[in-house]
Amino acid sequence: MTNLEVRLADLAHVLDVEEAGLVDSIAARLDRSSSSGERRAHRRLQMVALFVLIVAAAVALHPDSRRVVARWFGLNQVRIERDADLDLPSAPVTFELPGLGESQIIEVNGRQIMVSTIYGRLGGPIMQKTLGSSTSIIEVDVAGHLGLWINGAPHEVMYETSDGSVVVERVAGNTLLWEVGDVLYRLEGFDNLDDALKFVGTRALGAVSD
Amino acid sequence: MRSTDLTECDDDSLLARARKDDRPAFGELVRRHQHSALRVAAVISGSTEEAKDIVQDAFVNVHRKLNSYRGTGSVRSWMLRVVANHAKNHVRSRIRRIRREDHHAGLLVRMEDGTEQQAVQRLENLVVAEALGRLQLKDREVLGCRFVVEMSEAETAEVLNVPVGTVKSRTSRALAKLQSELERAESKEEHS
Repeated sequence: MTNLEVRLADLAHVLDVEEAGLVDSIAARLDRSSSSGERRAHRRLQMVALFVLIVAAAVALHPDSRRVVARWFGLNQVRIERDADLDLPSAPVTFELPGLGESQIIEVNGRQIMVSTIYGRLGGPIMQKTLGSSTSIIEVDVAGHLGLWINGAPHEVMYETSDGSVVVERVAGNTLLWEVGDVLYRLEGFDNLDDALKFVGTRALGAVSD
Repeated sequence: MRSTDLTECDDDSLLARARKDDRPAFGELVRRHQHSALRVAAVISGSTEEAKDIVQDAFVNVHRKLNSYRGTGSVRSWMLRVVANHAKNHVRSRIRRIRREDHHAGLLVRMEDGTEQQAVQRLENLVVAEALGRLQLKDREVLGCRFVVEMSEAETAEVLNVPVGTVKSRTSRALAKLQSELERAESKEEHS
């Protein structure tokens, strides 16, 4: 170690941070919130599932409701297109998330992956999906952030065309959603959660930038 | 909260028990990693005063996310990554709130009674802590993980969620910046 590195290491022993009582204070907080917290988390997933079903039903019943639903999801400004013949660039190593309200389709190992950035939180309305009997939603950790993995298909993705009409398209892609503050990120197209998380991890998409 | 056999369990075993709502097992995980967690939080947030609150919030969040740990890295790295993310978010919210109006205390060093030599050493520590606190977040976090908490490059990469190569390059740059910052402080001291 250089002299400077040693001087930094010395700080570990002298920084004025108080450890006493930390374990007990965390235990007390968990005691206060554990039962209600677990119920809240479970209820949140139930609400997501319920919301999804309600939206799916509304969309199926009345085409006009699609526009309303699109507004709920902040998709009015988003144009998402899929074209099998499109020559897509491979995801660069330094790939950055699209801006708020934007989506981007990239190719990762021969697959089309859609990445979106949405204003919202997992506690509120999220992307609508039609749930089949095999569809599941599980809570996951995405680089330290709360996330949901929605898999099992079939899904429907809503998008707005260039003439302003809203289209619901059936896609088979599984979806990873995760929230950072008030922003919700959405990654669709990976076969399994491990690949999606690996993509997020290797490109530091889950990292909070300063 | 502590039981003798828990101290002999490895982190993976403790995590498995904690997932089954074994609160003492989770307490042992917290006890085991609180030292590193507090220093990660202090250096990243730039505030020893706020470190304890950050770690408390982060570890409550860790408890909530126990089932989402996927075993791709060590339990310790995963826990410290949650702490690091909380500390970064804390900095961001503080910047939004007060635009760094300098009311947070910064990185403080314990000043205890002792010999003259110990007092000089503490002042030396304080100069380094203050210089570290003046660096940018990206520089602080990598120096904090690598040297204050003494993580390996690989573990630092896991905690900060960046490639190992990035850790190497950032460390080199951050050390150079810290050296400049210390020289600037010494020069200022000489002219005052």
